[in-house]
Amino acid sequence: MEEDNKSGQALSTMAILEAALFLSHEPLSLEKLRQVCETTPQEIRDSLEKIKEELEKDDRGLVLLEMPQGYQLGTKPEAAAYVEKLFAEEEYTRTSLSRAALETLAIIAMKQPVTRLEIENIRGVKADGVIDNLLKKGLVKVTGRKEVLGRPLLFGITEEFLQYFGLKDLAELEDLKKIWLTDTVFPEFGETK
Amino acid sequence: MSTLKKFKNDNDKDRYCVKLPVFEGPFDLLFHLINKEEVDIWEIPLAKITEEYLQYLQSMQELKIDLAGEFLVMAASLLYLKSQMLLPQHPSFFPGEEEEALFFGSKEELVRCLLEYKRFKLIAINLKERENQQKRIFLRSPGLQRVIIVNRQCSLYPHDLESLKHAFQQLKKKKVKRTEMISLPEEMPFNHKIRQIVAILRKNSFFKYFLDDFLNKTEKKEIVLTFFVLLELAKRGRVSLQQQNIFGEICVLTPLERAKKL
Repeated sequence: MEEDNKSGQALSTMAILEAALFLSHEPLSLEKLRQVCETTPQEIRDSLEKIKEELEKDDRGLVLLEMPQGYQLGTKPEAAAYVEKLFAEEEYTRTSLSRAALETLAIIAMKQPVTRLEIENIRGVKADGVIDNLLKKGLVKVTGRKEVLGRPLLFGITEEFLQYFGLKDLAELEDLKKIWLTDTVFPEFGETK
Repeated sequence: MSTLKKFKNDNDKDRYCVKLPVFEGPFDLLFHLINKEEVDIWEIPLAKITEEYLQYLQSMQELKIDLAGEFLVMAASLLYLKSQMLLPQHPSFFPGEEEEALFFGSKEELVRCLLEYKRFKLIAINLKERENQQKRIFLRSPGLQRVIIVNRQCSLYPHDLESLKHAFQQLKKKKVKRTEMISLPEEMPFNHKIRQIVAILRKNSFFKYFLDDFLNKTEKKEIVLTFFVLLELAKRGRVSLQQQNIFGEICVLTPLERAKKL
């Protein structure tokens, strides 16, 4: 068999990235992509940006996802109604989180690390069941214990949380937090922007 | 809530079907009541809201809905607040003690609780939108990995602790498709089938049969029964079974013929 890599016409980094991302079933880290392409991280980043722009065009069906663990290709949300037909016969159900779960997650994400009692005080409802469920789903984790009487467990969000909600990294979560804080500031309580 | 009022005017309680909005807790309900009033959160008409809140609890009891304790704590908190505002202010004999079990001890605290709750509601809505969006993005299935590791050796299985753990978690998450259950009749025509097969074996002295040769119909029950019978015959030494590879064809060898071959 003829050695076909690197010998024929040189492929652009963009093309190599596309090929690697196409094949991969899991997010590829920048480091991994760098090893594959044998080039600088900067060029990888630039090329990924170009791919992303290219895919934004209406006649492309894919989207480049940025996740905590790296980059991955997915199908466009707008294509969902169509591609779903491919799995019509398979039993695939993607359950949604309940409102209680979403509210609890919101509190944990914004206030982490946070204790169960603190969550319950905000929602005015017991939270054991919901938290157990979220722990099982891997969306939250125990991050330690609060050094107060009883040393209650502290909860925080996981990488899976970010991925589940399509957040690239913690910084993006911080952005969400900022919007949230500035949208509802109560100077009466001594809060400042 | 409107459906609820309708209910109250209706005498035919038993046949009336009511759809109540689901409230995630006392703050959720209170928030709904205040929103309905369309007043600024600072201008809450406490007396009116308290009354509506209690009315709602009452309707829930009439409908025999079990009330969570928290809803009652909220009712107590609201009533306490109302009484505070009616009575002249004087320092309590036991400062703070009576408020401990309540959600809030002053109107400022109530407003603060509500605003904080509102904030998280907004974030929850944002998360919900994100969830919806993410759910519509499909990723390549991990099952396709097989395609690209054909030439590598020993890479079919994860080999370090971390990937093993990951694989296990993935497996747990995966919804295992349940296979169709078939119930066999209590009295299986077992002996009948044995005779049938033995008859076939006697009639022709072929060396090799396949499972299919003994099937009348390809019903699942029939396949199961035939398989059982063949196992039984193998146990009794009447036939021996061979299978070259997993999921491959099952050969049924008659002992006589096999002996000949040996």
